[in-house]
Amino acid sequence: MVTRRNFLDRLLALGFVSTAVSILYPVWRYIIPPAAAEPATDSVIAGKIAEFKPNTGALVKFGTKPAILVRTSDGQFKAFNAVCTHLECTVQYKAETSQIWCACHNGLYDLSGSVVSGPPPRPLEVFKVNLRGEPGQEDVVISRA
Amino acid sequence: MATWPRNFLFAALVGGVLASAAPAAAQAAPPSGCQTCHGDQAQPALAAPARDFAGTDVHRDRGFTCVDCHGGNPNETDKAKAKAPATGFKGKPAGQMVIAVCSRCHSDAALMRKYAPKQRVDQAVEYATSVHGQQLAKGDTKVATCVSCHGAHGVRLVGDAQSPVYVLNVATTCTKCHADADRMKGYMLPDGSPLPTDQRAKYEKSVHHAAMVKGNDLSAPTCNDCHGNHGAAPPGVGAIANVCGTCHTVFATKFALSTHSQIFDRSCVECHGNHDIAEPTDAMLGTDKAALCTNCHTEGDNGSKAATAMRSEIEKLKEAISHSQALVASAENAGMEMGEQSLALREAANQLTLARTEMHAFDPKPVSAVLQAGLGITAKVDSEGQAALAEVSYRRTGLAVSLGAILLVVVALALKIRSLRA
Repeated sequence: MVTRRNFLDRLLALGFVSTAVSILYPVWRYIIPPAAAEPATDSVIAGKIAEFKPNTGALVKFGTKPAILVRTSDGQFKAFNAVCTHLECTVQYKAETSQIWCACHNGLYDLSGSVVSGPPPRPLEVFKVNLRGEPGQEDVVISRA
Repeated sequence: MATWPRNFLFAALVGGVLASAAPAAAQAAPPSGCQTCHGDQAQPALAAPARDFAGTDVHRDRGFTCVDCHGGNPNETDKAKAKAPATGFKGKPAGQMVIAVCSRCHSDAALMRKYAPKQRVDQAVEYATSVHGQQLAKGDTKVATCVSCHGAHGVRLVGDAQSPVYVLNVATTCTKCHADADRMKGYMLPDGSPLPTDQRAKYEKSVHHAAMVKGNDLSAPTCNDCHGNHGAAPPGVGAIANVCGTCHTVFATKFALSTHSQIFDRSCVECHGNHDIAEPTDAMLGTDKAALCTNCHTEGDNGSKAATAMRSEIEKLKEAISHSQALVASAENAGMEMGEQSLALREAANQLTLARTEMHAFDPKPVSAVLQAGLGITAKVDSEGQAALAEVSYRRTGLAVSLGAILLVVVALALKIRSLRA
């Protein structure tokens, strides 16, 4: 027959074990974490609008990959995945011709991301650019289209 | 055959009424007398043109009829009169007549502008410069003419996936003749050796074919991208680097700077082959078994030293990138933010790609400069990766200490409760 004292002792032991598990399990998962996939980045703030002069390009960290933000001569913003579709080199902006250029194999893209010449098999992935904030102080926000 | 006159009469009546509206209106022409009679022929060779022309045909769709290429009079009910010399009847054009018939429109810029304003009108001029055209001029009627590649009836636009000259079908179309050993017998290469017939088998093993068929890259080269289409000919010895360089521009520029460009008769082909161009690997460079440099260079000569130096530095950067990637992955898996380092490693990989490009000048110095830049990046990433792992270790030690303290309190508490009970 279970006495009241025994019952309370067992209840207390169960409480201790549960508490220990609830402390140790997170510790265990912290020490040996599950192999997690790279979290997808959907949006980044590239900087303030004044940081980007017309007819320039800037590389921006977009998750673990680079994005290229181009401000055209007429002040528009355009953004693309900066990974060349040929052999994954990082592309750059060529101000002289207003094109996006991959130095590795001379791939050229226009400012809609389409291949102009060279070996890239596909256009660059186009990102969306939005301006957010007070006029003159807007953040340039790049996000997946 | 007995039904020929009756059919012809009917067709002539229908065709005669509608023929005048045909090309100018750019509408599909109704079946002509020719088509109606040929469609009833028992001989497949006589029936096929009518059947094919009645299906999908770019010329028919734009209002052209049999007469535009073959001459004759479809309104005439008598067969002999319909094909009388006075009607301009040409029958089945062959050889030079095919070129003349097609180019009558296709070389007429004013006419072509009405149907396909962007289309070139120099196909016949180009053809005359091709090996096909030159052989034909010598009287060789086995060679390809317009219809051999485009078809005669049922001609489709080049962009039509069912056209024999659609980019994915070009190799099949060319090798219909060029893989036929009997047909190719007697043809020679400029060096006097027999014209091979294994081009397609080789091409299907190539990186270009894989890019097109497996990678769905329709800009990847097929036969006509290197040989030309209407002016088809093997690129001359001195032109190979230019031809490859139309796509591989940087390599061509670097190669032109090298001493090899003065020595290699077949430039790019010397190392990469032509139809069976394989995925290039680093193993092609150096002095080990798989390397190509040893085909000409012997151990200890300057070329051999340069090849060894470039290859060993490339391998060094590859190993460094691989090591850094493992370190970054390990730190990321332990919960550390390593985005900057991952980006930096992409730049190191860029340097590796650039070095492989630079290598085509066969000068170790610029290759080394690029690779050193890559190694600088991996060294920095390694140091940051190590620091991140040290931080992980520090945090874990701290966690262990705090857990130990909690455990100590729990044990002490349990002992205290027991002593109170006692």
